[in-house]
Amino acid sequence: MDHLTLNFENFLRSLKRGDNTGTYELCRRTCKFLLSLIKQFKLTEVRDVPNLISTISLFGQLSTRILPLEISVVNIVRRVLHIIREEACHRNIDLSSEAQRITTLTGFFRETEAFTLTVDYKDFRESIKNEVKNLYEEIETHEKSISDQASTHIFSNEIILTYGYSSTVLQFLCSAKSAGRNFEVLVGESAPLLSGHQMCKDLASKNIATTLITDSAVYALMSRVNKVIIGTRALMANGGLLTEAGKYGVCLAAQAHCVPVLVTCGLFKLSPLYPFDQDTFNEFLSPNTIADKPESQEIQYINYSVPAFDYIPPELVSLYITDVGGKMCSYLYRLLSEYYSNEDYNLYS
Amino acid sequence: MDAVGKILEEQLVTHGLSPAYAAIRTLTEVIRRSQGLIKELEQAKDFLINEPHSLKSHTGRTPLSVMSGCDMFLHHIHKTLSEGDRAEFENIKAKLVSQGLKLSEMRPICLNRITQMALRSFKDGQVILVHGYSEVVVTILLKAAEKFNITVLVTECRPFCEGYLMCEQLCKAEVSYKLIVDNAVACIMDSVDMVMIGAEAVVENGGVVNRIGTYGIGLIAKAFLKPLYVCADSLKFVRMFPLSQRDLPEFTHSTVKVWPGHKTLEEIMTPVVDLTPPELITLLFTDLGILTPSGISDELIQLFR
Repeated sequence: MDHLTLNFENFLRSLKRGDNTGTYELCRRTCKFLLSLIKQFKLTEVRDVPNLISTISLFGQLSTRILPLEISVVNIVRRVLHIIREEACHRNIDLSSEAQRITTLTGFFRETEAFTLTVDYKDFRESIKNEVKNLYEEIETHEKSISDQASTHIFSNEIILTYGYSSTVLQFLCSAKSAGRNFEVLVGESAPLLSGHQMCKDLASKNIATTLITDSAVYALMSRVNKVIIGTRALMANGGLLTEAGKYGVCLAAQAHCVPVLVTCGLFKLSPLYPFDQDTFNEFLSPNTIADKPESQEIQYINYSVPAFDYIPPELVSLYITDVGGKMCSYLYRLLSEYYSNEDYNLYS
Repeated sequence: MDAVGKILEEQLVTHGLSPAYAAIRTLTEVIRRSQGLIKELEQAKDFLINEPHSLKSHTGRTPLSVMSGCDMFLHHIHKTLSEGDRAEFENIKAKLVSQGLKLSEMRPICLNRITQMALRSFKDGQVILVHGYSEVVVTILLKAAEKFNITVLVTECRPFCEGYLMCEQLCKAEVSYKLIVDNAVACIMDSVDMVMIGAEAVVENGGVVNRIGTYGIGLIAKAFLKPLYVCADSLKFVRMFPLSQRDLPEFTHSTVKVWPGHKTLEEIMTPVVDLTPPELITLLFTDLGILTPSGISDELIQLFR
């Protein structure tokens, strides 16, 4: 397995080295990589199916090590594993390894079915490849699936607030505009990276009336806003959001003014992990982003804290707009059980 | 039926099993000794739930967890019997007995899984509030204290004063703890980082039945925006959908002795458990995984399929 591990590590490092290409790009490339892995993997006897699963789990473990904050990349690994397990289940292939024991009551009560020993591996590989290709297509077209729903959520003469840059939200708003809605957008500039500026330019180029506002003005203007629409980096299992820093304040302001918060996110961003506080999946950016090089006397007394991400608790979000439609927080457990297998939640077990 | 009572007593006291698992062991014994199976099992189950016996005096627990354990096991038995061939009754009986024994031994495995998941919510320097005595919570706290530097606030938990039992366990393991009176919870809630409780039963809508006082603590925790975590194994999931406190069964009320020294009253009739609704619960740590309250009904359907 060593050459495989090396192969995986090289690929993951290449993902890390690339310029800050967003979540979507990383997930797309990971999906392609896993597809090519499945095409080449040896699948000729019964033992090979659990082998395939443990190889892909190994890839997942390495990616949590090398890219610890890219939660969506590991989601893709889990989706592929779920596809393989489902296919194996349909064909009654025995997936248990020697180390596996029954650890839950549902596992205990499930009947042990008779496992088939003769399997058409070519067919098996073909179905898995087709499903993974569907997954790849789903990732590629998630923005379109989400923006198709725009006209049901945005109406004319509304004032929408968004924050920072998100290509999904951009597509969403443009789609509403082309459906004939006439609305206005307020964009929070999102210091220190000021990604809101780019969002403003892109919206203006599509002839949408846009106003750029500073972060401190968000609360003051919230009383005039009809809806807040934001994107997210990852969607956690309890409905919490892991987003760029600054959006927590926007959501709190929205709650105080009873303004609904809509979150657009592709299903591949839904992760079975639970964050317990602001620091579980967070990192700090370089102080350079907010301050120039300080004088040598200042360094002793000044602490520069630039958290990269915010965790937004689920109570502040009204609706999640995903590729499969608008979902409420209480429905997410269902999506999780449909797209992920319980055994893959913790890739280290 | 006296035999049933004796078997239950033996399982609770000699083997030290928790009520739900002891009930399953008792039913397994009934299967082993039975001639006519289903009728005897139903009678045994009713006896376990309704007659006063060692369980009530054991820890002041209600028969709710006995009910959930029995329900689950009986459902499994019904399914096995309906799918099996009637002619091979002895074989089916033997299979059920072995499954019953295996099931009643799953507690440590479930406990292990729950602990692994609950440990992720701890950090250094946290203050945890606990209410009521739950072996699951004790196990988790002891494990967490090995890795992190935590302080535990334990409520006295009248009328059964289980807080003292909890303190004993924590003292033995040298975990830093502090005993507080029940009414001080609101007062200290701002210094608490999370509330952790066990459960006597987890109901269909994701709510939890636990020692009286839990509902109040849940309301206070919500007001202070502190997370409330429930730790329970899936054998506690019960197919009940109570809409209010009054919808809990009759046996959740019992008489307790008043504070000694009162001249006129000797006993009061009080509910000994209350229902904490799902809106107050942040997450449930179970052997089926970390669940949000909205996911419980789905899991219940899976278990009773």
